[in-house]
Amino acid sequence: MRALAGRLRAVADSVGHDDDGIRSSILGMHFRGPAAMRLRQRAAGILGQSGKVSSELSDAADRLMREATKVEQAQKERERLLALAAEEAKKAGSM
Amino acid sequence: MTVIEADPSELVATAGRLGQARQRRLTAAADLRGLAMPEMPPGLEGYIEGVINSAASGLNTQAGDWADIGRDLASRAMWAIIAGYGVLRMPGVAAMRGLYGLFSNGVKVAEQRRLWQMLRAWSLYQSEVAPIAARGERSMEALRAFMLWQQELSRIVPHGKLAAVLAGEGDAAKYMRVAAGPLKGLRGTVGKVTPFISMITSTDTMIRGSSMPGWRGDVDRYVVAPVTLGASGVAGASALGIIALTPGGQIVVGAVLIGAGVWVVGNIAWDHRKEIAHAVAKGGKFVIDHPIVAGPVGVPYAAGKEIYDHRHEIAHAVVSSGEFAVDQVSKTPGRLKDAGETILDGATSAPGKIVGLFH
Repeated sequence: MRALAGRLRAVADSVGHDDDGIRSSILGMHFRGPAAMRLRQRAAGILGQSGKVSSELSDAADRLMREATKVEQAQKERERLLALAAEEAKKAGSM
Repeated sequence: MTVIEADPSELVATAGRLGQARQRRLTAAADLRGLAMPEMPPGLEGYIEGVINSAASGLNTQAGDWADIGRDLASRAMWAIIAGYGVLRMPGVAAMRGLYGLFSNGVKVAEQRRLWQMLRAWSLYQSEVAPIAARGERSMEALRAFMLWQQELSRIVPHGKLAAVLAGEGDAAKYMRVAAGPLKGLRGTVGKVTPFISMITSTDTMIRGSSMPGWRGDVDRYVVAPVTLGASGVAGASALGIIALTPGGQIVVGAVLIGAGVWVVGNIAWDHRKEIAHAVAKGGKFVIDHPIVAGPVGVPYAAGKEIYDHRHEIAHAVVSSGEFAVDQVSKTPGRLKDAGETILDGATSAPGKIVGLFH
């Protein structure tokens, strides 16, 4: 689960980094006029959608990490209880 | 007023980046779909799968969108180049055109002045020497007139060209072979095209406005562009033989185009002063590293090294002093207006003064 979370976060970061490069290219190019305005508006819409994808992937990665921690804690607790039960069984057997 | 500007090279570069972004989106989408799902608590798996599928689908859609925009930009860049608008307005191209214009018009003015001097010399010969010489070959009077003619005209026409004046007998075409400046063939061929390019860009500036900011844009649009349009039209018609300009007319047109060229090149140099100063500082390094190469042009190695060691201060001083000068100019609009009116008055009266020399 942690590995999956890492992969999702890597994709989210890569998309975000890409978006920054695209944004600065489109804003920085020497292009003025009605067509330029429409193009920049369309690009802003796409970048907005891309930002949503990035944040959904990041949220999913965060949830995976939280669930992984819970699972680890539950496993540790289960092992502790198993160890305790084994010890009590041993004590009962020796009596 | 709608202003449309496009730099084709930047549009094409951005289209290229969008093409790469499209590829990265497709790769990211494929990576997401290929992820192996580990064991996880019930309910979580459904959520994670939903997010992954939605993200992959979104990335595929974005890949298509970036490809569309990239194709649109590439197409617009191509039309801008075809229209000749973007290429002609690119600083590097405009600077090259401006520098070539300064060179060719400067050479033309110089050669037309030499032609005019030779024509004047022939005219004076015909009026002062020829009638006396016609009275007899061994006339001392003719010889004295001829020597006086040589003495007077050698102050204007170089001694080496006096024989050509007599040999040409007033034929301007023959005189031009002697008076011609460098690269005459190239200038003649290119001179049939460049005036029309200037007419197009000047008209475009007058209609759409100048790309220069502030007051420079107004001067460029309402003063320089109309003057350049007129002068280029005359130059183009003369180059094609539609009209025949006298040497004086050629000088006037050439001087006007030189003024326009100085304006264009000066503005480009000012707008790119930091890059130019940086290039000067970097270029000095070559001379320092290659003192033997520098030797023939007489750059002392030690002095050059001093300049190189202080190149950043020098470059900064060049830029700062230029900015200071502009700052002073912009703070004194009244004085600038008065100076400008004086210059304009001198320039508009100049053609009359030059034409008057032929009468």
